[in-house]
Amino acid sequence: MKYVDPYIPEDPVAEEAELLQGLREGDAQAFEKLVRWHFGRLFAVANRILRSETDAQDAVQEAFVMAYRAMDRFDGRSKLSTWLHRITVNAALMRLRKIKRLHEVSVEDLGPKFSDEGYRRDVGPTWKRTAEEDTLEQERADQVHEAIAQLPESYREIIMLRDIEQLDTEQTAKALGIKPGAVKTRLHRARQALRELLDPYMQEAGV
Amino acid sequence: MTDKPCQHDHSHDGMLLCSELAQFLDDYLDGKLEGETLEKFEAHLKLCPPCVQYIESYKSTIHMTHKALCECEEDEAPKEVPEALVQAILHSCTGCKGEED
Repeated sequence: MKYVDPYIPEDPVAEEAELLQGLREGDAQAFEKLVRWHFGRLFAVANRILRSETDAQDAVQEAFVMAYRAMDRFDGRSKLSTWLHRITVNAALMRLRKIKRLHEVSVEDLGPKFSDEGYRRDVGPTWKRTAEEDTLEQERADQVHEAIAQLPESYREIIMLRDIEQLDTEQTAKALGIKPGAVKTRLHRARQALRELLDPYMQEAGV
Repeated sequence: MTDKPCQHDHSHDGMLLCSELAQFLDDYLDGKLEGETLEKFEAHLKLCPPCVQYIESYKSTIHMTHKALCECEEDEAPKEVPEALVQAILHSCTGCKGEED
């Protein structure tokens, strides 16, 4: 396969603004520049999730097609590169779900468990690994990716808007067309479900 | 199951139940919980090892999720771009534009 140099603009901020204008006007050259500029980083993002160059390439291709189709809906609330990152992560997670034959979970079934008197009944052995660790080793990152891939789309989406695009509650509510209270509830349920999905592994990892 | 259950008497009026903590948890972690609610939240944690343990694992979940979604080292990105794939992407998008039209 023939490889060529990526497109690297001298002034990324100015270039992004110019590209965005071109993309909104349907300028094919602007889109080509976007692909050549961001391909490498997005490939790395997808490859980190899929651990396969072929699958990562396919996920990036899907992501660019999705981005192209959704360009009219990009509202500039985050950087174009951040928006592309989120779309690529989603494409990679959906591909991971297919490859690993993961099933979508019911978030309701993964809720907290309490006794009739309201006492907590869902805490097992302590997780030995703590939040202070700076980086995730490969095996644990794989576990987290698989857990996120199992979430229903509306829950996965809210996690990605908050974590990748760094939107606050109000911004997320606006982006999704729901009330801030609903954002908080959905985010909490998504995190609770992820905690439950990761619990067996994190207990095992601590032994 | 933890061997140190919540030491609150849940029949006592005014105390937060373990099951009531969830509605305040994310605000607590964001530092947005204030006043009496914060006092009640922290009073509960002082007497409830299961909830403390739960919150630690919940915080770890948030941390790991963020890392898993956002970590990307620039040096992991390939230095060159596969031309055939770029062309395939451009072709796919031209195709999807055609479908829309």
